Amino acid sequence: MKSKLSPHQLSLLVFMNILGTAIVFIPTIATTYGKENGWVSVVVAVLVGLILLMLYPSLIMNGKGNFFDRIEYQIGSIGAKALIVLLVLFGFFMTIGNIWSLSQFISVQILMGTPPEVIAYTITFVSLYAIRSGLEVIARSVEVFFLFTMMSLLLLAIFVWPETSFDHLLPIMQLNQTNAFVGAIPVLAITYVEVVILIALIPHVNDETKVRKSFLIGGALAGICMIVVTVATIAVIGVEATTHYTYSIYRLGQNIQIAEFFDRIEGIVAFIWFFTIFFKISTTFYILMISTQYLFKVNHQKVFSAPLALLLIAASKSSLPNIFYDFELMRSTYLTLSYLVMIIVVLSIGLSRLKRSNY
Amino acid sequence: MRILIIIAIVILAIRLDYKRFSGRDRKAFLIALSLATLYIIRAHNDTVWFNYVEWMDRLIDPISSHIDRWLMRYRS
Amino acid sequence: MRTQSDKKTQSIVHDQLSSCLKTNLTYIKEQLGHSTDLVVRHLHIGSKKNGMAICYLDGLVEKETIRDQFMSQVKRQAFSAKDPQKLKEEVENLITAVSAVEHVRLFNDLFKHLMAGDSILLIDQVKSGLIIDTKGGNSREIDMVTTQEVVRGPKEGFVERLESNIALVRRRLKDRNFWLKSYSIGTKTQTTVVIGYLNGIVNPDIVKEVEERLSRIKIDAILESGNIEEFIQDDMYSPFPTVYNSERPDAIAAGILEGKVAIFVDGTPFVLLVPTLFVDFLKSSEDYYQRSDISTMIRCLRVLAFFIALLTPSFYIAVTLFHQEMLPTTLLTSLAAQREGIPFPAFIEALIMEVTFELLREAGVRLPSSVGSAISIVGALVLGQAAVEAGIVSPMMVIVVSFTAISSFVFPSYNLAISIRMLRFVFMMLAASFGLYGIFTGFLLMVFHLASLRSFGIPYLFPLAPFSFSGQRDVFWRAPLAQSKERPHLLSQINTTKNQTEPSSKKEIDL
Repeated sequence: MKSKLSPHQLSLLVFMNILGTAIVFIPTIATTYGKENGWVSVVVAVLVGLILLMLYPSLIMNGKGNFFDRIEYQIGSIGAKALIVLLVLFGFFMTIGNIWSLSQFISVQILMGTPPEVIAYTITFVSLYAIRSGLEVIARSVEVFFLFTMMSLLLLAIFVWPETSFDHLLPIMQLNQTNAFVGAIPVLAITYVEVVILIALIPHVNDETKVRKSFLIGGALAGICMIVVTVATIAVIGVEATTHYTYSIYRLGQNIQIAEFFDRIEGIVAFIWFFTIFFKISTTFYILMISTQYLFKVNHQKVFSAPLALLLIAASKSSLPNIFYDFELMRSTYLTLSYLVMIIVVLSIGLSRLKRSNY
Repeated sequence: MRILIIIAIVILAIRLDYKRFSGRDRKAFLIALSLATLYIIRAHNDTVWFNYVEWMDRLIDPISSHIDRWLMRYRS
Repeated sequence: MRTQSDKKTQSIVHDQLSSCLKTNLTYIKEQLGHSTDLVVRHLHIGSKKNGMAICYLDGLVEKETIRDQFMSQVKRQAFSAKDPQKLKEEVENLITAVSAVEHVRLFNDLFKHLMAGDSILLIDQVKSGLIIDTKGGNSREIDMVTTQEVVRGPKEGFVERLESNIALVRRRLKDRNFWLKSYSIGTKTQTTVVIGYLNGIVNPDIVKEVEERLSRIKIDAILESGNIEEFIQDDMYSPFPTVYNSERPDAIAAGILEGKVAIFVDGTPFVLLVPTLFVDFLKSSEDYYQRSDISTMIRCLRVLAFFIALLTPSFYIAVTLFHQEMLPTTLLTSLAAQREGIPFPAFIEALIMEVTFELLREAGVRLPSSVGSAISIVGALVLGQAAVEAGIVSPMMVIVVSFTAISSFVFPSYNLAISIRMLRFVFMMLAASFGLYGIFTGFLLMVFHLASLRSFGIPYLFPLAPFSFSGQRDVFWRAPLAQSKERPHLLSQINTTKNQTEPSSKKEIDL
C-alpha cells in the first residue's frame, strides 16, 4: 500500500464527496417534494445518512491487503469481480454526471457562451493530473480547499442573513408531511447513498480504527452545511423560486449585498460548488482507475488513467444532452442505480461477513 | 480543430506513458487508448455506437419507472 | 649536478614527491604553468645553501604569518641536526608552535593544499613536504545583510569566506551537538561544501539523504550555493523553490534548531537550508523577535500579499472581460469610461504593463545605485502618467499593476517572489481565456502541484496539508514563545521539546 490517508483527510474527502453536486441541487429537489418543509427532508436524509455511514466502514474494516483482496476474501473471486464491475459502471455514471453538470453550470452561469465541452476537457485533465499524482496529493489538496469551502459557505450564510424572512418556512409541518419524508429519498440518493463507493479508500487509511469516526464527522459536517443551505434558500428566495430555479443556491448568492457596494457576488457559490464537485470527480476517477487496474490485472496503476479520461469526456458529451435531461436522470435512473448499488454492495459483503463471523 | 486537439492529447499520453509501462501493461494501455480515441472522435461526430447513459437508462428502466411513478405522487 | 637533477625529474613516478628539492620545485612550477602568483622562497639551513624552500600562492595566504612567525624563526634558529629526517622533525617542532602542520607525500594532495592557501615547506633529501596552515588573504569583512533586512534583530550577514560563516553560526549554537561535515565538490573548483546540523534533533534520514545527494554531484564547477541547490532539489521543473537560502546567520541557526540541515558553500554568503516547507518562505526571522501579536498580523499581511501579487491582474482581466456583472454598477461605469479610448483588450493591456514593470525591475537590479534613481523616475513617469495620458492603458490598470508590484515586494524571500512573478503570467492567460473559471482551475492545479512536492521527504505544504494542529502555532499565527513548546514533528522526531518555560505568572506589585 503506497498511498496513505490520515483519518482526518478521509473525513474531509467524505465531506467533499457528499457535498459535491448535492449542495447546488438539494434545495430544489427537497422543495419539489416537501415545499416549505423541504428542509425537513434534508434533516431526515442526514439522520438516515449518518446511520448508513456507520454501516459502510464495517464492510471493509479490519481486513488484510487492499480493497480488492478484502472483497475477494469475503465473497470469492467471481463475486468480487462482479461487484467491482458494478462499482465501475456506477462510478463511471457518477463521474460523467458530475463532469457534465459542472460543465453545464459553468457554461450557463459563469462563462456564458463557452461550450461545455471545453470546460469538460479542462476539468477532466486537471483531475487526471490530480489522480496521476496519487491519492495522497488529492487528500492534501482537499485539506487546503476545505478551508476555502468552509469560508465561502460561512460567508454565504452570513451575507444572506439580513435577507432571510422565516415566514417562508411557515407553516412548519402542517402540510405535506408525507411528502417531506418521501423527499428524503431522492436527497439521500445523491448524497449519502452514493458515497458507498468511498469504501474503496478505507484500506488506504493509516489508522483503520478511526475510519468510522471520520466517516461520521465528514457526514455530519456535510449534513449541517446542507441543512443550513436549504433553510437559507427557502427563507431567502421562497419556496416557489427555489423549486423553479435549477441552481437555486446560485440564485441565493445573487441576493448578497455587502455595504450596498458589493452585490451579486454569486462567485462565492460557484467557488463552493466548483471545489467540492471537483474533488468528487477526482475521487471517483481515482477509484475507477484502481478498479480497472484490478479488473484487467495490469501492474501499473496509471495504465488506464489517460484512456479513461478520454472516455469520460466522450461519454459525458454524448450521453447527456442538457440539464433537464440531467434532472430527469437524477430523479429516476440515477436514483435507482445508486440505491441498487448501495443495497447490493452492503448486502453481498455484509451478509458474507455475518456468515463468516457465525462460524 | 477538435480532431487536432484530440491527436495532441493522444500523442502527449503516449509520450508520457508509453515508456513507463512494459509488456502486458503497454499492450493494455495501447488498446485502451486507441479505443478511447476512436470513441471520442465518434462522440464529436455524434455517431457514437454505444451511448452509456441511455444503455443504463434502459437497463434499469423496469425498476426505475416504478420508483419514478411512485415518487411522482409526492411531488408537488 | 645538472645531469643528476634531470635524471631525478624523470623519476617522479606515481605522483610521489622526490627526495631532490630542485626536482620537486621544477615539477610544481611546471604543473602550475609557471603562473605568476606562485611564490617560491629558498632558505639556508645553517651553512647548507638552499637546503629548504617554501612555496605558496600569493594572495591566498596570510603573509604576516609566513614572514614574522615562520621565516624569522627559521632564520634565527641554528639547526643542529645533519640528517635530513632529523632536520625535518626539528623544523616541524618549530612550526607547530605557531601553526598547524601536516605531512604530504603525494603531489595531488600537495596541490590541493597549495590551492587552498596553505604553504608547503620542502626540505632537500626528504621525500615528504610539510604543509603549514597559512590560509588567509583578503576577503570581505562581516557586513550588514543586504537581502533580508529587519528592523529588529541582528544585522550581521554571512560573507564569502566559509570559515567566518561557520563561526557566525557556531557563535549562536554553543552546543557540542552542532556537527559539521565537509565535502569538496567540483573537479575544477574543489569548492568546500559543509553541512551542519544538530545531532540528536535532526532526523538522521534527512542527513543521510543530504549526504547522498551531495555525493551524487559530478560537476566541474560549483561557484555559488545556487549550483548546489539545483542538484539537490527535489523537483527540477517546479516553479517553486524547495531549498531555502539565507544570508542571515540567525535564520540559519533557527533552522538548524528546528532540525534542518544547513549547507554552507565556500565563496558565497548564501547558506542553504533543507528540508524547506512552503510556509518558510512566508516567514521572516524578525517574526520571532517582535511580539507575537505583531508578527501574527504581519504574517497575515504576507498571506494576503501572496494572493494579491499572484491574482490581482488576472482578476482584473477576468472581471473586465467576462464578469462585468460582479462589479458594483458605479465602479463598472467608471471603469467603462476609463477604458473607452483604450485600443487594447484588457489582457493585452495588462500584459504590456506587467512586462514593462518586470523590465523596469530587472533594469533597477542590474544598474548601479546612482543610475537606479533615474530609472525609477522614468518608470514612474512612463508607467504612471504618460501611458495613461497617451491613452495606451487605463488608470485602473496602473493601479492594479502597482498594487501587484508592491505586494510582490512584501515577501522576505526573493525566491518565492520570482515564482509568483512567473505564475502571474500563467494566471493572466488563464483568466483571459476562461475568466474566473480559469483562475479557479489554475489555482487548483497550483495547489495540486504544491501538494505533490516534497522537500527531502517532507511534504511541501506541511503543516497545512497534511494538517498538523501543533504545527499551526507557527504558520499564520506565531504563538508566543512560552506556548510553543515543540519542534515541528515531521522534521525532528527524536527530541521535540524546545521550551519548558512556564508562562510567567502575573505578579502584583504592592506599591
